[in-house]
Amino acid sequence: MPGDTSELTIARFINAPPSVVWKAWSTPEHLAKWWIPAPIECKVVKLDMHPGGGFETLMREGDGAFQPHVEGCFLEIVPQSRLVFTTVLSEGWKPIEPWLALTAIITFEAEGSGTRYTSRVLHKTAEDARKHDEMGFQAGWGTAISQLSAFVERLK
Amino acid sequence: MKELAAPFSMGLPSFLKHLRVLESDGLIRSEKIGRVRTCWMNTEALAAAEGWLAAQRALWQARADRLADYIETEMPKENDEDAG
Repeated sequence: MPGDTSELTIARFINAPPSVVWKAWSTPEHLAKWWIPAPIECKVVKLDMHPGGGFETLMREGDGAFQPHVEGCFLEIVPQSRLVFTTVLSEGWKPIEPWLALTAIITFEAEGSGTRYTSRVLHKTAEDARKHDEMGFQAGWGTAISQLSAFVERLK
Repeated sequence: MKELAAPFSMGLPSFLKHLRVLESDGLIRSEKIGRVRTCWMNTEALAAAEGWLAAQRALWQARADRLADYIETEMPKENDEDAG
């Protein structure tokens, strides 16, 4: 919805066909390489790409223990074209209280010899998200810092 | 420091650790005079991070950029093997 402050859409062209971009998303060893910014290490625990399938990634900084990163459930899978996951459910549609509630709709469209890769991400209202942010201060600290660093990195 | 840590449900040592992270990222500055350490917020850096949705957008944009970089430079190309 235009003007809705709780939704975002980003798009970019990737110089590879949708089949290759899909493979980079749907294969655990490929996903682990780009899902989280280096030097933070990513471990893909669940990547069951079917509706109701679990999606779980962990992260680790240095030699520390792996920490929660994303836990969610796939809602829709159309190979090489579209995937939808949410963090308000875990594997098998089980409701959970995520640190950050979101639904991500990722589309892969052929464009020339490449792919138009689009992420549309739906959140609760920004106000709700902020509240959640404060409540999850401790649990979400690592995530917040890494998100912040990723953000700051891009500002440089 | 005790004053700052009070609203958070964590011990003072953990709180200080978190503050050091913020300081190393340039989000806050602090100065110790005698036994009292005073913190300032780096308002410019915080204002940039304050736009909550802007931060989320940057995260997803950076994620798409990393995906593109990975595919275009690092990912093994199967097509080459097929062609060979």
